[in-house]
Amino acid sequence: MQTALLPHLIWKDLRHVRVVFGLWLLLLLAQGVLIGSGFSVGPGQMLWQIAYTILAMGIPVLQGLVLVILIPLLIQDESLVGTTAFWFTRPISRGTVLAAKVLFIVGLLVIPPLVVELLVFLANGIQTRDIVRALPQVLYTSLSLIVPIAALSTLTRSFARFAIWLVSVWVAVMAFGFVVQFERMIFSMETFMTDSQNTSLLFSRSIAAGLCGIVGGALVIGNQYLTRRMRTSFVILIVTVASSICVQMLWNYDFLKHPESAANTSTFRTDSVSVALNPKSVFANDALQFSPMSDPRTSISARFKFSAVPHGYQLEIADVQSELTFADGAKLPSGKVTALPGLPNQWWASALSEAIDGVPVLNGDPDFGEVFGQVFSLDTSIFQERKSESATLRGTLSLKAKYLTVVGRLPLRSGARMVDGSRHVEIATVVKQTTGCRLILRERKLNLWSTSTFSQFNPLAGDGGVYLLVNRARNQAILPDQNFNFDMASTLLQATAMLVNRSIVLDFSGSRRDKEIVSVDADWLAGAELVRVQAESAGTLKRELTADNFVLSPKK
Amino acid sequence: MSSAISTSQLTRHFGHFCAVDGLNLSVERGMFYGFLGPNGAGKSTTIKMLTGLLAPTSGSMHIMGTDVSDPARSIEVKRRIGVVPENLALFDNLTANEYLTFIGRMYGMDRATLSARREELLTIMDLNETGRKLTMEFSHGMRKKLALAGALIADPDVLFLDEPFEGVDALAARVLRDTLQSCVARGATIFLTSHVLEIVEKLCTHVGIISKGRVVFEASMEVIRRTGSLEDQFIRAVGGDGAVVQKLSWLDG
Repeated sequence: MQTALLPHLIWKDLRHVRVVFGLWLLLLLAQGVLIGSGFSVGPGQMLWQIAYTILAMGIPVLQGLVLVILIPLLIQDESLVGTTAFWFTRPISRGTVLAAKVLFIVGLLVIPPLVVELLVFLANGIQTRDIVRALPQVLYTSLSLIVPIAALSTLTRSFARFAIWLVSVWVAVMAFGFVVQFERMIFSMETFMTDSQNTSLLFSRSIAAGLCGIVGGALVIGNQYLTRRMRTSFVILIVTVASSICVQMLWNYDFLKHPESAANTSTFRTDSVSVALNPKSVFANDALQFSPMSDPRTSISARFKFSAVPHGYQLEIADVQSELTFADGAKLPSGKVTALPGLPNQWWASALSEAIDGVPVLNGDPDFGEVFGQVFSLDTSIFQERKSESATLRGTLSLKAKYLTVVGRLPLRSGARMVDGSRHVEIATVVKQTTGCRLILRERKLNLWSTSTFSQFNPLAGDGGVYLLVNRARNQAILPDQNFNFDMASTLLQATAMLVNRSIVLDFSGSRRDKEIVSVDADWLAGAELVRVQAESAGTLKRELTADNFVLSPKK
Repeated sequence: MSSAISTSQLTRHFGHFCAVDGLNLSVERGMFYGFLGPNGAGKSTTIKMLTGLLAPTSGSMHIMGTDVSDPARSIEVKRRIGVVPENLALFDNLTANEYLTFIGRMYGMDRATLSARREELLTIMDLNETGRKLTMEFSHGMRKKLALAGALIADPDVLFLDEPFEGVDALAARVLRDTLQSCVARGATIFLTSHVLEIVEKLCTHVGIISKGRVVFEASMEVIRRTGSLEDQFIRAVGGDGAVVQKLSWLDG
């Protein structure tokens, strides 16, 4: 390789794409300022919300579009297709041209976003540990866009042809993906439903498919520059697209999943934990049926009551495997039960209370301490036959244990702040009302793959945590109301930015189901503080469940 | 001393079509060689193979005694040649000054030599007034002159010119012609393709005529002049002398 030529080739390329590159750099800086400034819009400021949403969504989209123009300009300035490229007749080796293009892309299109994100992280007090976890994600995001565009550019002579190819490949991938997803919905609905609730598995699949695209794209680029064998390059391209689609559909290794270990019995005594099923709560309903070809199924759900769960801990059901034994000796194993892993708005009042030094949570749901979930699945025809028969239900429950811990306390005034790792929370506004108060929080946190959840708008369904108002003098605590404040800007930002500034609206009326439990007046608020309680994993355990005289459809 | 350019059984197929069919050429050093032929005869394909733009299907080619198709030595060969391809291969977003500087750097020229030659070339080609104007804004003639300046800046031993006079006005053509003659006078070898027989007749010392991928005539200009005109020779060589001239009905009588 002729390393002395590299700066000149890069300079020439920079001259060639300077206008588009300048525009891309401006957009990058604008995105950095928008996110890094910590600016966020309260839910009441409609006009600002719209403007912020347009910017938050528009800038990344524009950045992507500019890259779609910039990269073909860069590559096709010395087209690898046809016989018009300048360097074919000049004393420049193939490796040198490839190195110049790679250095340009890495130095000017990959590193600047990394640097901008790094500065944004540092300016926003993100911990080093989280920065180390975030930077590979930024790198992956850049490469998963740049490499496929560059690969397609090396296979086309002009921007028009590139655009046609880009649209064709995109349509082909989308169409194939749609067909495969549709097939899964029709023929393996249960697996589809289970998978679609598993955020980390979905992310793992996307990342694995994206990596396939990056590696395959890099091979196409390398092959085109070093050999210019179009046929081989096209074969690599087709294999790459096909394997990316297959990985996206079939990948089952969830490498982002937090490793679940058995509960540590030295801190969490599991031996006395038992589970019982409330027979009066048994409830049958028709299971969702997406395929007209499959037999109708009935889903049986019930409330599970846990006993002897140590204070401060709560349990959730990860999986149920059960079997019915009828009086005539017939045994009926359950079909696949759709577990609802980590249903996030189930907070046990007792566990919450334990976490806040025993202060009672007054407006907690009386059913806290129990978990409602599916216990059995069977063909509707069998259900109709056996629905009134008494049977014995035996099952094994896989349980996830969580302990609740206070991660931050804030005095009830505007400007109060708390820091929990890389999560920064500030009370933006306190609106005292005749009954209760409304708090608008500004929360800033990293949008990491490993901690991502689906966007939640319910304050009780936060990402593994919940906010409470605690008045220690009166020995009273209240949960916020179940209201839904849709924050479009922060929701969209979550999809496009690493650092998310979002507004959270919490209404504390002190009531439950419109019935006042405690009067949250000015005096009560004067002695209150805002507390964030976080659920941390305490490991997994299994419990056997036996329910005699179990009836699939008990008479109410 | 070996030839400046030599090919042996050089062949290029495009699918079933044979564009160049076992071409044997020998161009001695210092020659101004005109490579002629009708449209689709294989001129551009030959020049593309010789300059590394296209790989031959079979056969061999040597420039200044070095095998062009040997990837390990192709860079060495390219250091010794200058090319004005059909499409010119300029960079639209560079000025004339920047373009010549870039090419000089690609040939590893030192700063002082590059600067001196660049200024001289820009003056001779009448491009020194173009300033910050980008090559995309140049006229066709200006682009041709700049492409030739780019081919000359490294003082090559062999110059390949594919239709250098096409679309060039008389003034620009004169500049190009004079510059090329100076090059030959200094000992360079020029391999030129053109449709304009008058120019070839004026400039070239030797002529080869290709038809259907094969060399059908080769002689020095002296010999051609002795036996008639280049045009007569060309028409005879490509089989055009017996052709029935079709006339348009509304022009006939």
